[in-house]
Amino acid sequence: MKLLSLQDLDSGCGRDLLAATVALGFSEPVARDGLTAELGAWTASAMAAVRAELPADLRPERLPATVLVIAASTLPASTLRAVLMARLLGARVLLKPASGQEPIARAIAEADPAVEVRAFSSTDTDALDAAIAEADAVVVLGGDRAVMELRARVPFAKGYAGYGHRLSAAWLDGFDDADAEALARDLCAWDQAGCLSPQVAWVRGDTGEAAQRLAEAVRSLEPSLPMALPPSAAPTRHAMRALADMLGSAYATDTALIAALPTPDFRPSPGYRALWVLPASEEALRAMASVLSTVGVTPGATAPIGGQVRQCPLGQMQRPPLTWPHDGRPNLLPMLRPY
Amino acid sequence: MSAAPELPGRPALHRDLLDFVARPDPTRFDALASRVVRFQAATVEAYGRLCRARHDGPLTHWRDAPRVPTELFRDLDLSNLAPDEPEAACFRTSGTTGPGRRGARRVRDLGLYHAGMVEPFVSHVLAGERQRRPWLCLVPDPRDAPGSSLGHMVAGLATDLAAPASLLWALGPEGLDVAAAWLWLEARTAEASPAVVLGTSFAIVSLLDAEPARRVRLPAGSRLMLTGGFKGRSRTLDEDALSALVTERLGLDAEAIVPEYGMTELTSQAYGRPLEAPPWLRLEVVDPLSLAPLPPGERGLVACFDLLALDNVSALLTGDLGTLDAAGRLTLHGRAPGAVLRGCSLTAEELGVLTR
Repeated sequence: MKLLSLQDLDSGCGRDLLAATVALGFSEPVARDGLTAELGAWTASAMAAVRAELPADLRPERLPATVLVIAASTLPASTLRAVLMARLLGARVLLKPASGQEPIARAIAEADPAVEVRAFSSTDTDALDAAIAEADAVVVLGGDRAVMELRARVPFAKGYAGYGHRLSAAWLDGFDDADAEALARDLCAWDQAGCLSPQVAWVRGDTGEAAQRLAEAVRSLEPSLPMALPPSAAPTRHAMRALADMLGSAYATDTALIAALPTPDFRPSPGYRALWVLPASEEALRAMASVLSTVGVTPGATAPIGGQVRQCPLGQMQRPPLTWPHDGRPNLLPMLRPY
Repeated sequence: MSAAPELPGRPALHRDLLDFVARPDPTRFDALASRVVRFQAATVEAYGRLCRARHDGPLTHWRDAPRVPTELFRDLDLSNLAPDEPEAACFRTSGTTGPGRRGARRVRDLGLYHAGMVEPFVSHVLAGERQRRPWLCLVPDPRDAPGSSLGHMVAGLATDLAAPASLLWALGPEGLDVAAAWLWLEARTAEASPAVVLGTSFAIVSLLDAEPARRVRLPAGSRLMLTGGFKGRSRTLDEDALSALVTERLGLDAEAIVPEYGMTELTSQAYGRPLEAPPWLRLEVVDPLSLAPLPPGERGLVACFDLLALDNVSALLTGDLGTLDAAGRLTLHGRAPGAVLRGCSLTAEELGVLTR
């Protein structure tokens, strides 16, 4: 698997991938941490486990010869994984990166000649339709609108997998310093930009104490995972802090804001390491079920939510195993040619 | 419901504020502002908590007062009224600048509001002339939209300054009454008396776009008060293009077009180009990250301290970008852009669409 050459982030295409990720606005340590987490999941045994998803009697003609991956708006880790999955089927990959993420795509293509970059404007429907026509399956990573619009363009005779934007949360039942450290790592990974990043933490117990403990853990972690808050993110950060000061409590670190409120209803985070800490409420958690991707839980705890929501230990939210069924779906089967 | 009970210390403060409006004296501003902040910290529950969270001891100077981001009026009642106390008015934001609920500002009484709005308007918009004139109002009529602070302000000014027989409210629940507005404009061209038009940028452009072939030359001395922007609208124009359009279609030169800067969360207004605040309103431009005041010429977030917002919060942080000149006058540069999130996490905007 030539893509594995990306695992060396200090030379060749791996170094280019790291540089391209830093160019998106992540600090080098954050980019390295995130890429290492993803590429580290690419073990031989994990890839074999993913391939085991395929039925034993799969007819070879159902395997796609070419897969179009449209990474409309996503993290490099998601793009990497989508490309890997297509390559595990032996398919050639046409990779359409988001505007500004072309260097990410070029680094991946540099690693594996079976990956071809198809950079075109999102408004260039001729180029899009041509790429779709060339592919046997299409994978879309992006907002729900992009996923829906592209679904409508892809003929039903082709495989299709669309992964829209989601959000994640933590469910804390009892909370010690080790849990705080693990959750701080989840928060700081990819600067909270991923759909696996926690936006809120529901806590059984004292929310203010949990917020304070988490802030202390972030303070310990952030020197090794620095982040610069862009000025454009500051107004919503100020508003979040003021609201928490008025209704609950707020703890600011050099890079993060942890804000405790007395009411459990979900609140969207403004991002860039800003986490709401709310009193645990099964009703509030379940109200978000349709958009939840992952819930990080304290050891021994189970979040009271079922369905396709992934539950994992704190500290692992941004490190899904390769066999994780993305949004509850198999990884390879949607790319097969339909019967 | 009975009238809201008076709060301790409020009558004297209210009286002193009215006196300041009548006889502005910049040397008294600091002391009065400090009293206002202490009163607000003691009577606006949420603001008191914010002040205590940010300061170990009592607030001694208004410059230490924590600024409240204006978007928090969507989440909180930032008034000193109990939930069941009657209010003189409840002004609501347009809800076009962000996802979620519309903001609300409950007002205990309108005395300070009315006291502070006439002189700056007369001075800037009417060039000091107080004669009653024909008015065309392209803002919400408060009889239809009692929550519009802009409509309330214009109605209050019209009571004192408009000629009742030629006062037209052309923006109603059904939208802009284009036909009536153009008839009003054309009627003015046969008169010598200057006219006054008041509207949002969007309403003015809509009126002109609706009848692209019509144009008038309003009488000499006529004025246009222009407020607001194009929040969430499809057609937008920058200030120069809008000014040129108005000059061409209504016959008003640039000096006759007077910008107004106000908002639901403020009691006072600034006017002019650049915007000039009345003595009871201080405008600042602050660094978006540190919130430290920026020197003239540097672009940052606009912050305000409005002495007359006695029963709400005086120290506000807006989402507007601006620069100050050496004289403290403000030039706006639009809304501060939101951060572009880099990943695949569902944003507040996307979530708002899903849950609306």
